[in-house]
Amino acid sequence: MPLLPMSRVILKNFFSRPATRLYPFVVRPAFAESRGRIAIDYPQCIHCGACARRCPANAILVGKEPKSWRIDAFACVTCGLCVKVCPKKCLRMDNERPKSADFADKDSRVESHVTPPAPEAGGPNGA
Amino acid sequence: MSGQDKRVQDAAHAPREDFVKGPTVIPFGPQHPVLPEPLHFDLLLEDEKVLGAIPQIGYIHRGLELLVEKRDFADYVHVAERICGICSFMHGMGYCEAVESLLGLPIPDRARYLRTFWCELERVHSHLLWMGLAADALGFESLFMAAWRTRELVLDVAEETAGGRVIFGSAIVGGVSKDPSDETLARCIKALALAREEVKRLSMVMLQNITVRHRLEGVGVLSADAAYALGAVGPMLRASGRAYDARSLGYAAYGEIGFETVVETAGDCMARAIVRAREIEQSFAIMDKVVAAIPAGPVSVPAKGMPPKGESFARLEQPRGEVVYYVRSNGTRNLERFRVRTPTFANVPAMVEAMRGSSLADVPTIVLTIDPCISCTER
Repeated sequence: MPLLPMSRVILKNFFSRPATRLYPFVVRPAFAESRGRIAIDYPQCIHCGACARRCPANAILVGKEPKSWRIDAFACVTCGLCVKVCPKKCLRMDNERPKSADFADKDSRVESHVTPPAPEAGGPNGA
Repeated sequence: MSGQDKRVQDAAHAPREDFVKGPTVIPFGPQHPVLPEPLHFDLLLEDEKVLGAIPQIGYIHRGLELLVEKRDFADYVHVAERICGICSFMHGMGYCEAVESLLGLPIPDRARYLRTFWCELERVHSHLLWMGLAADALGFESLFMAAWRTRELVLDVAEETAGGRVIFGSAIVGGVSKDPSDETLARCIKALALAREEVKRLSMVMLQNITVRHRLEGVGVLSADAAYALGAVGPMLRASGRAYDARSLGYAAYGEIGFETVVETAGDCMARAIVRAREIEQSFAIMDKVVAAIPAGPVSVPAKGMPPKGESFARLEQPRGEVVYYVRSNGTRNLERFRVRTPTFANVPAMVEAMRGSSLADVPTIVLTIDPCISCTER
């Protein structure tokens, strides 16, 4: 056994920076393949519901009337199947992981988009 | 039932006043500094000597096996992966292998090699986690920090290739869902070479440290016959001198890669530590071979149709030992039954046997050297 095998580490520790980062002020850049969170380019969405049907965790809800799309970030397992089945390619997997502080209140875990119904022609509020 | 077993049983069920005459019962766990997860023992002591132990589990049962009736068979892999936070990929992969054999679905070569790569990556990070926990329990704080710092290098490789640090999420029925490029794999092998150097040094520090040796050598001895008779698996069995490793079945790409089963003969806590340290080294070598030999091609085939009526098994070697998966289908998209026989569950009787005759102060060390994973055990 070499004499004092940890001595090199001790000396190195005197002159090196800490192995940890000052999270959340310093964040390691995410890898290209990292599973972060599902994001949507909502104006592109055609509300076909393919993502909601394929989702193994039932995290996505697509409404037809009024048109809406919502995802529960806590239910999502980031499997990426919705991204694969989306016919308009408007869903994507962001590699940046959300910070836990982003979910501080209960509503913030749900991302929701609703298209307001188009005013009917000739109706009371119509043109 | 031997005389001693009878004594242990009697003491456990004796009326309160009889305890005064009989052995002392010390509850160990479910909350204990060495236990990362809840596991309870009633230790029966005579002075400081352990006569026997009555294990009890059931604190973190989640009913994951039953969920298979409610989920599509292809989606259940995400549940299977969450059985455990350490051997997650292998749980998902084992379920996939069982379902694939039911479907009669051969998976592409590249997928088999990638599965082997991720299995070994998981083994390394699991054994490093164990090394840290063991060092911490022995009061070796700096080794604990160093082991977990090295583990971060391995977890980074996991995230770079599979997308997740702990829940890889890359095993799917019919192959794998991620296909890291050859450049990524080459970069990962370089990063792993750094970790390998570090692990070599840490293993030496741990295994040759005089205090560690005093705590581990000759403690919790399990003979080869007892280990086999009690159904011990994994490093527990191999440290007792039985050369059995489920990887020799040749699942995934182990048949082509080839490896040598790590065996130690002493059967004590030290031998179990040595087996794990040598397995880390071996896993790095297997990953090198996998990346050198990985074929090009697709990584998954679509799993079409329903699983036919019938049942199938899959066996894998997890970091903690052999795991068995059983699936039974009734011909619909929801399987009828899914069952996992996890390594820790198989190792508990052997652990109780190893404790017998040791002193109370050695019990935490013996519990740690089986590397218990209670989440797996209870599912």
